[in-house]
Amino acid sequence: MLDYPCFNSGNLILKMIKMSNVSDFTSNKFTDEEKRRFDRQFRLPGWKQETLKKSTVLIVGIGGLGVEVAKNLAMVGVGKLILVDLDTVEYSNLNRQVLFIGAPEGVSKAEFAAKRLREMNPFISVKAYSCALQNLPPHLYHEADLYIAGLDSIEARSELNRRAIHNHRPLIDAGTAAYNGHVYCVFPFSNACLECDPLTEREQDQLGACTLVGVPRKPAHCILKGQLQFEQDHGRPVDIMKPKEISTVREYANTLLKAYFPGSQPFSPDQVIQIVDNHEATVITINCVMASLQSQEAVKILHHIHTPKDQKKLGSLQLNYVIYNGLTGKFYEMEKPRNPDCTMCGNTRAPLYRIKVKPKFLLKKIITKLAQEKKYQIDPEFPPSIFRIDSSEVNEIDWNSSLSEAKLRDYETILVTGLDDGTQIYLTLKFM
Amino acid sequence: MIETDNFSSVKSQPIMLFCIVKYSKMLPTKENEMECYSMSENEDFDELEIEEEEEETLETQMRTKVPSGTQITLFFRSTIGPGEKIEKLSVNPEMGVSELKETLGGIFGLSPQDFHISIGGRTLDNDDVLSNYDIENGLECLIIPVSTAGI
Repeated sequence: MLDYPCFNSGNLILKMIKMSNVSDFTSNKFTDEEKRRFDRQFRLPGWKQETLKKSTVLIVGIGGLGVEVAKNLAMVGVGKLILVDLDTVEYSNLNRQVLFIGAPEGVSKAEFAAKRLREMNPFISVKAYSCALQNLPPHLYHEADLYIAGLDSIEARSELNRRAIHNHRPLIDAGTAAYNGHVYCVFPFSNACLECDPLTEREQDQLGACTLVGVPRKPAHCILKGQLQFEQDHGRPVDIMKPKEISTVREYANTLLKAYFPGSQPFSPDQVIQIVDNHEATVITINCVMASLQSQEAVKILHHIHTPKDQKKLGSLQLNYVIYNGLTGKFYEMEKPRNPDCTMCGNTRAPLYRIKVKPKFLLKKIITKLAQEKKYQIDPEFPPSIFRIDSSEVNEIDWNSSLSEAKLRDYETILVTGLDDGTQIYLTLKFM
Repeated sequence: MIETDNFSSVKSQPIMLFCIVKYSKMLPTKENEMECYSMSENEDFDELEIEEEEEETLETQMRTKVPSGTQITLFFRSTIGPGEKIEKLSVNPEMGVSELKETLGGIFGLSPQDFHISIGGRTLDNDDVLSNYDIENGLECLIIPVSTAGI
């Protein structure tokens, strides 16, 4: 995707040197209106508006962080933005998500945001996808120069992290928790990825909380169990506007609390509501700090990606994990070490191959051919299993089908298991 | 392309340089693409091209093991809350992380599920013990927020 000039041609070298002296002021890539609009940016040392114009950024999650990042990158003139969000606008978003002011409740966040951004900057292209990031057409992950996460769950972050590793794209993650926030850019195979620090707590948390039989591991699980019991008894979720229903859950939770966490203070109705109607406390001031840091890193990374090797880059990249405390105004920085055993980017990860193929090719033949080239064993009696993973529904694909029959798309990655009695590989299919 | 001398290096210059070389390697270049394979018996495969990821290995980091039984002193700096606090604590290296979090929660006035402990950039796993991390006498550990919200 990146175009590098060929260094052995004298002609091109001359052209390049000339290029580096061409400023955005005299560029023929902009209309007069664009030049007037971006005039103050053109004056920034090291700034290259042309670079931003030819860049594509994928923003996943158009909420508190995503809205701000999308607004900033649209204003700054990033040529193409791809917005992804499954959610719709709610009134509770309006304390911080500026693009949705005036939006009718229930409208797609991605689509409404895209409309607003086109009004704000008509010189850019904005594409909206109202779907889960798992179901986004795979070629978009290839098309984008970098990904920005404005997500609210570990699971979604893991999924985006895998796409970043497999497509070799930087991922700028951020998150908030009340008055705190963090920003971290993953540069695949250069610094730690989001899977380098696996926490067993994550899986157990779900086990402990999401079953009625499991032992509550944290006091809060008692309330979640009360909620589950209510749903089972009534066949519908708890209505937090009805005090009687909250008190039913509360009684159940406090009985469990007494049994498993003796000595704990019983839950108040407020605590029950906060957990049953589970939403994070969040405010625009903290969101904006984190989103602005993400946006500025994005601008720098785009300059770095698109600047030829011998030319000076804009600034330097932040490889560390940055924490912000909005109550003290302090920033903290830490270097995250890579984990050699990381399942995504460590030494024992499943290898990834990119294959140029035609949609009519049979999976069986592609994989057999690859196995021959790469010296993998295939047992004819037990052929490998192939899994569709670029989708919210992971399922097995027939070994005998062709790519088009299996509805596999350009740049789709599949997981092949059962080579050499258990080896796994990833295959990215690049259509010719 | 990312150039070596323009990366920010905070502490460890050599590690940073190592990173950059890797990063420049990983970008798709012509050299990374493997030659075309042709398969005479099946013309379907005239244009099948296989491209492989750059081979790359990481050195396994050695963890410094503190002899069990001896108490060690650690400093904990909170990045959460209305005032930055540093507390000194003597702990047994075999102490469980969840137990340590309970203690620290009490000292800093935080609920254990609202923070993680970070040692040398690694987030401590609740089910692990302290000695599995790079700890040494006098080390400063960070109490960091569980900031997963973004919507």
